[in-house]
Amino acid sequence: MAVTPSGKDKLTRHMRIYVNGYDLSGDARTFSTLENAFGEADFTGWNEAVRNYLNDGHRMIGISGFQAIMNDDTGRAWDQLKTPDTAGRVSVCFGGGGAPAAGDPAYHLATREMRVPQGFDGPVVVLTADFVADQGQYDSNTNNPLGVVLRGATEISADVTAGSSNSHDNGLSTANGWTAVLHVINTSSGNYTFTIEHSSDDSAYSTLGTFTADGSTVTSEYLTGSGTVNQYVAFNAARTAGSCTVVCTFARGYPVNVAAA
Amino acid sequence: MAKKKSTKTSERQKWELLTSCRNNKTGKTYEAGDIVTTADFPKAVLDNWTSITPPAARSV
Repeated sequence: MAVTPSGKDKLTRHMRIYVNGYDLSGDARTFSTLENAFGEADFTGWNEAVRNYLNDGHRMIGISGFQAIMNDDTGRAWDQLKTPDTAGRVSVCFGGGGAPAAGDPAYHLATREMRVPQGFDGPVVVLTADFVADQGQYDSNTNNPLGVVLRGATEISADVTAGSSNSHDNGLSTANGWTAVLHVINTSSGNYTFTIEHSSDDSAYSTLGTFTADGSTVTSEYLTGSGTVNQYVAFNAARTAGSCTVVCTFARGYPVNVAAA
Repeated sequence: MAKKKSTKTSERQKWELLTSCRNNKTGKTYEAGDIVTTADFPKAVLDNWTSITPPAARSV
């Protein structure tokens, strides 16, 4: 049976943010908005009493107002975020009563960090970063930033097999492609093949996509695909050597230009 | 007496896998190019893999 949702227990204490393979959760304070909105195309006719709309076909995505403590240690917030106009990958994971794990909600982007002004929050020096969708990483499958965690930040030292113990059940298959983000946040001579796999029965799995990253270095990667995603999706890691810690988030594509029901 | 329907493996419908696959019930893994039958995966799974886009299997 696929992992089950944990319910109404999403506390900031258990949220995590990963940027380009670095866990910045220890410096994270807050964010203003995880954008996820369509523009409104007004279809109101002259003799209609109520204004009515369709979406304009362009989804606004991005993270605004991500505030972090100015920690200049290597791999921490200032070190990773101080340069605007930097491309990368971001995953925000919503832990359900504990650290984020498979099945918990996630928001991810292939992003360009556009703004990072610094200021004060009381006696604390903070930076406030905005992440927008990166044109250089965009492809036609990039349309929905909201998905799930497929792998939380737990060290891998053996095979991780996609299956009913770690799969997410979407309730039905979808046909609008997908995106995935992988963060390798720690490694000890890791050598792995990381794949996203899907299944119609939570027992027989086929490969949906294969990451290039092999767990040997701290890095992040954005992977996309078109077409069908079966009902169950899970993360798979085939070990060749070593150990590493990776985080994987996954989002199903959304049909654009949805007509009014 | 009616002739029994043959279920010999050689006469079973076959599918060629187009990507790596795994049956968690048997623990067996398969690679793209492998030929499988309903002895390897349920018919419903093979039908699904043939029908999805991109397909994970094709009938041969």
